[in-house]
Amino acid sequence: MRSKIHWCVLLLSVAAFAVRAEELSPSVWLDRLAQSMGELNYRGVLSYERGDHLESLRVTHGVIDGEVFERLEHLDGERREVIRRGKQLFCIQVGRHFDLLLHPHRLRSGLTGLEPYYDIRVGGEGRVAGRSSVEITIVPRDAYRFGYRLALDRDTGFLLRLESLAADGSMLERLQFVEVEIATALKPEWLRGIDLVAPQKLSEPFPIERVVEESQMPWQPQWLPPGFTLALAPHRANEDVLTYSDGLAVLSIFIAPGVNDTDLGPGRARQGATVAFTRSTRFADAPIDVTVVGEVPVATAQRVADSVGWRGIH
Amino acid sequence: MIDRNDSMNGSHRPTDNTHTPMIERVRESVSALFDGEADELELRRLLTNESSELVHGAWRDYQLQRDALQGLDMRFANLDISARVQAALADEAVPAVAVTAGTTAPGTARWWRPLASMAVAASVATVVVIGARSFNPADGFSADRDSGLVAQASANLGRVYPSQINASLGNVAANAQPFGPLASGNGLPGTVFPRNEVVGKRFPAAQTVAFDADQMAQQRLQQYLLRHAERASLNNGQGVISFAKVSQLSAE
Repeated sequence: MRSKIHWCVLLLSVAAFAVRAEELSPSVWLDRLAQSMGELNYRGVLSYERGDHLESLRVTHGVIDGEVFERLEHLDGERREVIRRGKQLFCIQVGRHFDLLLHPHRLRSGLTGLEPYYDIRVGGEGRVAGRSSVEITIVPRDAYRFGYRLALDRDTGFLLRLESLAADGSMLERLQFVEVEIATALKPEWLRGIDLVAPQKLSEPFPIERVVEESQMPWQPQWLPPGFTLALAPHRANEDVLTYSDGLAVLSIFIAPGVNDTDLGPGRARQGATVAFTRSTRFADAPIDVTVVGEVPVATAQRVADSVGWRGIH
Repeated sequence: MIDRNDSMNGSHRPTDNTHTPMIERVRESVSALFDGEADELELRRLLTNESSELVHGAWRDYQLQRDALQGLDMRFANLDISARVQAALADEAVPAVAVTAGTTAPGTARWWRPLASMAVAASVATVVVIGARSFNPADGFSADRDSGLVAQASANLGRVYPSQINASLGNVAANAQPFGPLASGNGLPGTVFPRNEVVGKRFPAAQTVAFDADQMAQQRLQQYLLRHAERASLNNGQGVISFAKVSQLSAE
């Protein structure tokens, strides 16, 4: 794996020096982005900004024994972090441990197939977190999704900045590295304070209970923006959640028992680029709440929520 | 406050007509249940007819003590949830692993037991929440509506299938079956294990009564944001950075 990464970095470096950034096609940059996010070893501090909210986080990423290792630490407020090792994901808060173990149903191979839905252009060069960067603008071709402005590391394709943009061009949120160190391997000091073994002891992984085919899902949206396909079906017995993606934007549909006469019913919320829309309906004479959460315009979330219906189990 | 007197002085109160060890055991079990630490067999035993009077009394006492400690409204103190707990348990697929605990694969049994009990305790907590919330002071306690809600709650929060709903309404739809592994109750680990997480985290037992709707909606939203981030992290190429957007990792 290590030699593979060396090889990748070398190749990407050569490619970057061989041609001007603007001359590379957008898809090449997106390939680089997907590859670098998965395979690079790095640690950096990034800022997350939405409205007047700003916070700092530290992210560590690398490969251990062939498995992706990721750690996200919130540096402000209560100490909390997320650790992923391979397919296992751990959320840790002070004095409290719980896990969200993932068994991906269908993983996307990369940022492909975006062209029909987004106009992607390579922009000018700049500098972010002390590194030479290339700007990529991603403009949706319809009103169902947000636009993005990225700054990628010129050498590696690493995502240095991500801005989510509303239709009017206003910025919904921004993730930006303040400082990042990219290395050929995970450095031991990056892992200081992490017990790589202990998290596994918190509980055993969930067994994969079932592989749900799309036709088997009883609740389904009758409408989705073009290009959105099922990315994750329910993978635990108690879940009624479906996740769809067009390759960039992701939305999840939650079905839950509703409660009569409460404030829990219809509503919407927005936080940065993430919106939630809840529709209350009735099924078999019982209240049902359908909630769509995703990085999409609220109108999209609403339309998806409105279209969700019972299809039965076949 | 009237409710409190009712339940404190009710005839169900364990007194000298029962053996003291029995009382102690029941009270300990109820206490464990209240703290979400009772295992499933214990819970089933608690809910048998022989000890129901004891259990009801002890449960109310614990509820009152807890509420008194937290200064909560006592309105729901006499809300007898045992019927709904029974309903919840009846709907639970019998966890084969828990039942055979101690006889086969002791390692597995040790490992499963607490998780299975968490699952049951979580279901109970959910039932309490829904039950309390369906109590509308304006029109009184609606038994029919409540049973419908309980049927859903017992089917685990976040899962909506008409089989449970219709069954509770005496109107079972022919085609309404939960997914195979759930319906068959085949004893696969998956049939009992997973329902602890979301339910238990979302509705901690200590906050079940007199729960504020705004807070509940807020918690549910936080939980959704977290779960969405979890799923998005696999799909948007950003990995754990997706969690940067979730301000609270725990919805508690």
